[in-house]
Amino acid sequence: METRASHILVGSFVLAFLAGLIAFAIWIAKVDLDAEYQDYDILFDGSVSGLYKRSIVYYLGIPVGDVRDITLAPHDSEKVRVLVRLRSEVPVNEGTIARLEFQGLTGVAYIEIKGSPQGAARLTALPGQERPVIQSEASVFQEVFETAPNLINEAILTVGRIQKLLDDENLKNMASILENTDRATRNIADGTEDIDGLVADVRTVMAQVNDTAGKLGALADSGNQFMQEDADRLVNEAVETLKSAQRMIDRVDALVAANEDNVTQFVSGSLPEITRMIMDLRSTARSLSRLVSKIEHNPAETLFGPNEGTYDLESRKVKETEQ
Amino acid sequence: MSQENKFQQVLAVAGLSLLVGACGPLISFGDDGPADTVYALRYDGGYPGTNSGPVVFVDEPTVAEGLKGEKVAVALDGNQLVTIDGVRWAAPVADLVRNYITRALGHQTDAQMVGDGGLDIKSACRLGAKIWAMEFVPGASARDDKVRVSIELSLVRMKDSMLLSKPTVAKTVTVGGKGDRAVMDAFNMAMSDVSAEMVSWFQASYRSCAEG
Repeated sequence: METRASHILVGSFVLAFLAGLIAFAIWIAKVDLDAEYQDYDILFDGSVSGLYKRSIVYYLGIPVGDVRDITLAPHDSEKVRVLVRLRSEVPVNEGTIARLEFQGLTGVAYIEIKGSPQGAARLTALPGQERPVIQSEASVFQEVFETAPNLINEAILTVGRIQKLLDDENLKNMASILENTDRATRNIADGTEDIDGLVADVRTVMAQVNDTAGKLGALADSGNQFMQEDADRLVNEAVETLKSAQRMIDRVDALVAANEDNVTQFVSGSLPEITRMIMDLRSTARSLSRLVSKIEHNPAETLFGPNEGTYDLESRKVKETEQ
Repeated sequence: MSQENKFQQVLAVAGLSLLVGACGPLISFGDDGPADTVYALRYDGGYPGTNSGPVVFVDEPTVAEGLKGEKVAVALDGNQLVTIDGVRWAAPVADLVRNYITRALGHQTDAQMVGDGGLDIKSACRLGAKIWAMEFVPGASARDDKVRVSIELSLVRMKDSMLLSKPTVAKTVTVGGKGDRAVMDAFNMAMSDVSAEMVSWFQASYRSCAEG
């Protein structure tokens, strides 16, 4: 007996299975057929260790794209160019910043894109650029990883210095300082009794000062009496003396006023002349002294001059003078 | 007066004459050799006019060693100093230079320059001079002979005894020929060059005499 299958039913089943398979493949591949994408370049300074192709790109924590390619920057070997593909509705403007972040401590990196203020212009490719370039900045983790070695080195140095500071000798000194401090504190506490005694002495001294002030007041009273009686006579004498001095100054002043021109001429003209005359007299006295010495030593040379050579212009030679 | 006294007087005169005559071998009054040729140092220009600027007293210059007197100094190698034979200045070098400066500055500036005889005139400034060199410097041959003049000047304001300026002017002139006349002409040329520089300095300085 021959099985009579329905060809229509089998064909329908096969087609339905294939359609379901295709739908499953699309679902499993997360293919969004309606989505539109836009490519961007991101230039990172330094290493992008932990970042791979297909790594996720987040915008404010929302996955909006992935990494398509990672290469060195075309004209700068110290930078890394990361090609990312983002959904076209992601607002990538001129103030947008990309940052390399890490997921926990696993070392897997992703790119976090930070939004820009609203109203900023849409990011476009500049002349000479293949795609728009999103600005990047170092993440906190990158800075920590870069500075960590220096921090560790400095920490090691600091620990070494603390060890030197806290060596046995210094610890011994610290113990001695603490012991001295304790002793000083104890002395201060004991000294409060002395301070009480000191305050009592100060009170006594203040009483004596009050007594002395009273005596000084009495002395001032007697000084007042002196000023009222004897000082009158002294003041009268002083006034007379000042009057005499004033009269003498007036006379000198009148004398100078009457001869002002002469005095001025004497001061401005004659005094310098007198100074010059004194200088000339000194010079003359020196010359006379030399002359007298010469006469004493050799009178003939003084009268007729020394026997010194002369230069003959004709023969161009020096000849001695005969006397 | 008796005859005896007259005889004593005659005897005393005769004895004194004999005494002076006896000193003859000891004292020589020189011979009748050739006279020195005398030269002047003369400013080759006009005389001061009716100037109205400040009065400046030109003090008597002081001179360096070996330049005093009327003899013409010669500077030889090894710092040796002699004088030219048979030639002298008409007056001591200090007087010649003082007269030259007084006349040159009085002629070419508006200052009233007073020199010798002007001590009793009230002056605004005193111009001092130190003659460091005024000497003939013979060379290896006559063509290399030179004369050298170097004078240091100092302008002092009398009102406050302030030194306004103190330059030194030095000139060297080649002697253009042989004999004493050529040498003395060279001295006059050198002094003319010195006075030209001196005038330009004085023009810029003497106005300060009235300040202060």
